[in-house]
Amino acid sequence: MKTIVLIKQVPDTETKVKVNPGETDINREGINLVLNPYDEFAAEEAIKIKEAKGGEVVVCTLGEKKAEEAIRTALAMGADRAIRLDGEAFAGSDNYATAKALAKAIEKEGDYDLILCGKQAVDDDSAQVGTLVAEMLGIPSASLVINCEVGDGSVTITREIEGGNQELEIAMPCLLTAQKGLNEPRYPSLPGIMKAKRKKLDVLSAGDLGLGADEAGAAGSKTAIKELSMPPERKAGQVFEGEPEEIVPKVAQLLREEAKVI
Amino acid sequence: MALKINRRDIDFILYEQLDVEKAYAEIDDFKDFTREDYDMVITEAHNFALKEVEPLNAIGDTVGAKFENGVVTLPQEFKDTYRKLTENGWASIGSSPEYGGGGFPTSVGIAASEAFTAACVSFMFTVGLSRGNCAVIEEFGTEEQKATFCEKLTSGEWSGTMCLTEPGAGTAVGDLSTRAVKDGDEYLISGTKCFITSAEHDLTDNIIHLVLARVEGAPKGIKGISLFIVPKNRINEDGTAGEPNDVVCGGIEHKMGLHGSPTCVMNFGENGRCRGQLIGEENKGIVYMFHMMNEARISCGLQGLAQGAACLEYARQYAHERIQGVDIREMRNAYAERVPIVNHPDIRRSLMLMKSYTEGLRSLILFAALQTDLLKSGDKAVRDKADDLLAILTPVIKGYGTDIGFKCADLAMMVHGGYGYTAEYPVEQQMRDVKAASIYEGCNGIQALDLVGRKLGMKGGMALMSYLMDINQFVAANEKHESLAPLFKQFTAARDALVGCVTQFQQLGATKEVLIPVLNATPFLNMFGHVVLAYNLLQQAVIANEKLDAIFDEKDAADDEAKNEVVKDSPNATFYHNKIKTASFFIFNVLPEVSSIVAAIRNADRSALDVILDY
Ligand SMILES: Cc1cc2nc3c(=O)[nH]c(=O)nc-3n(C[C@H](O)[C@H](O)[C@H](O)COP(=O)(O)OP(=O)(O)OC[C@H]3O[C@@H](n4cnc5c(N)ncnc54)[C@H](O)[C@@H]3O)c2cc1C
Repeated sequence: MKTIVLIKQVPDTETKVKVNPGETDINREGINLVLNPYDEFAAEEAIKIKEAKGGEVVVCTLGEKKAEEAIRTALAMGADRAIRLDGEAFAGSDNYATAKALAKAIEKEGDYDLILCGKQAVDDDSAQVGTLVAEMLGIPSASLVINCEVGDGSVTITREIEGGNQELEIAMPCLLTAQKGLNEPRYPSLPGIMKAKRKKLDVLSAGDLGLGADEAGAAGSKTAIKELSMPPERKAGQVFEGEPEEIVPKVAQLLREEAKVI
Repeated sequence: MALKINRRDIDFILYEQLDVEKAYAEIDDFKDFTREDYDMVITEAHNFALKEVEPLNAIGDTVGAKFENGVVTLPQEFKDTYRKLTENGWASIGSSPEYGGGGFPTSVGIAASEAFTAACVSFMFTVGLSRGNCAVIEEFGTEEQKATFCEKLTSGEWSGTMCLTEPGAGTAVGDLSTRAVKDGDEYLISGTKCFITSAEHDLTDNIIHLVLARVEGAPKGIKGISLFIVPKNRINEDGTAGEPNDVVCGGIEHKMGLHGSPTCVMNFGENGRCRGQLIGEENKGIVYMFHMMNEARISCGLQGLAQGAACLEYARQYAHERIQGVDIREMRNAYAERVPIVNHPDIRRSLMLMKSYTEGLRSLILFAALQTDLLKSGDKAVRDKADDLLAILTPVIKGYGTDIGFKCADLAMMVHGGYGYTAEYPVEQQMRDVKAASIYEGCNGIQALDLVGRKLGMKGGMALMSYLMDINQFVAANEKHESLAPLFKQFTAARDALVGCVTQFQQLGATKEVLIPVLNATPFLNMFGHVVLAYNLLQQAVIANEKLDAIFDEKDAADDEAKNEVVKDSPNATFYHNKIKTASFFIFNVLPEVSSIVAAIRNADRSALDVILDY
């Protein structure tokens, strides 16, 4: 059984994000980067499946050299080897181009039974890449998975839907995106960290994946970020003191004239 | 309120100040490690500490260790986390790979431990003691003893203790009366020890006591003490834990803090059936025990640092959240905006005291950790130098460092006002828990005596000289510093006062006024600590200054306004800016105390000796 886990390195959720005016990325100086928390669920599930059924777990990411820290976290948890997609050609990839690159890498890897990834990355929160990859590979997928039992040639999963849960049986190979609650991710252990050092990590370029110049990076993207801005700061609330008879008309007037909500 | 660890400062010290990568590249034991390894170990250890160990702190405090019929039980959460922590290798980051440890440098282990200690110190004692216990057996035990105990102590399957203290022998360990009688290859041990940490608990299925005892007929005092391995349960042929070894816990102390750590009265051999194995030779026990004393005392300093720095972070967060009063300049304006207390100068002063104390101490402790690692250097000169520096700095780290821990808890409580005094906020527990660090491993008064009585004169004063020469070299290279020269001026004055005081002690030591240095050992330690901390902070300021200038250059910030913008916007620039301010604060506000302490010592006042206290 071969499981491929798609991962992303993202800013720590406690980061105080700063945006420089006119730029299309956040200010990355001094930011602490971590393995996307939802990807931890995906990695944990893949490792648990391997422990139960045998086989191997391959992690794959598109990211710069720095992203190897996130790879190493997954390897230290127990994944077997890793693939990192890197190179100038990938610069400016949106969700679509990222999914395309990952799908190509997965095809090249071949021979997989299951693909797992987080339901979304907590940096841009777009929750698209997993499903796009499945579409590009032409395999079934399910999002927001909170339980997963691997059977013979298929998986039985529970996924969150609005107002309840849905149970599905899906033929493998398929792709699942992990939701919180799927499992309790293990911590990378000290021996795990040391073992991870010796695990194989292949770095592939767009060329290695057979992607043309117009298929990767900004050129292969369907969207582009024009500008980032911070949400407007909330103004301090206004407090009205006095007898209700006095202040209610005042508040009503302000709601009508200033806030324009009634 | 969330526990925060100042990782940026740890990284600054390890890589920008001490350049440990370079230092370790030249040591065989460490040369295969890379910075990525160090970083990842520290990151994951901190992660584990904050998520898994920190929740134990309140449980340990409120539920605590329970004693009934000779058995001590710890909260279930302690047991679960102990298993996870040891399985994940966090109990043995720096332990020998030969026995399953990580083999990492001490500095990395200490950087990781800061988070564990801040998270729940009472939980971490068992782990720390096992490590120290194992180190003694590894260094002085026979092959068989090593094979029997080291692996299990490293993995955490068994835990260890250090049994020195007795009701009649606390500071004066040499007066102990626990007896050992030779019986075949082993010894029969009998006696009572008290205040023994983790000597009885339900985390492991065996507990290995290292017991100091006197063999029949041995000389009186410290030179007649031997060291024994005394397991709670005897060891079976196959190496597993077997039948009870007549080691019984008579009770646990009800303490001011550290409720999660059992402090035990231990009765050895009440039925004449307690067997122990000798370590090394008879009558050399104290030498073996002292071998790990440096490390244990540095761990105490680390406790001061970890809890002091945790208090700083709690107070810093609180000071931003608590709204109270108005800007002092708006005092008469009843309509003035209410401000967070961090705006009040007196609160800022308190936070800066905590910041400068803890950052200086962190630098000092990690420097000492590096020296510990340099003891493994292939170069004898490097080893000797490291040994000298450790001898001088250990009592400072233990004595001055644990005082800093308590001082920070005090300052943090004041920042919190009435709320700090309640159990609702974490500083109240931190204050109670950190206090004990100034008592065990030799009370702080004893550390001061160690510094003044033994260390100053060690090797004919050469150990101290070696440290002072480093300081002098650093000063000579930087005293004309473009922007930091005024700091150096203050610092050199303090250094000269210190040297003058040492000379005075030497002269008094040669006369019958020897009691004056002894009487003033504690103020001396405090003064010495100020100078050592200032030296560390000054080194940091020089580096920070250079890095900050580089950032200004890179961002084309030429005038003050542009520089202020950079300092606000760039996290690195903020960090370096704060470093310089922290050093300046300490050197201009705390270091001047040195001259008054020295003046007081010079008075050579005997009142405390002459006063009649049994009035
Ligand atoms: C929480 C806790 C955990 C502990 N864990 C352990 C443990 O695991 N193993 C262990 O063996 N011990 C342990 N101890 C014991 C600790 O090491 C002793 O309490 C300490 O050594 C002091 O001994 P004492 O309490 O008998 O005080 P005393 O020796 O009675 O000292 C009382 C005071 O007199 C001062 N004093 C004593 N002699 C001199 C002198 N010659 N000159 C100047 N001043 C002097 C001391 O500095 C101190 O201020 C622990 C203690 C505590 C509180």
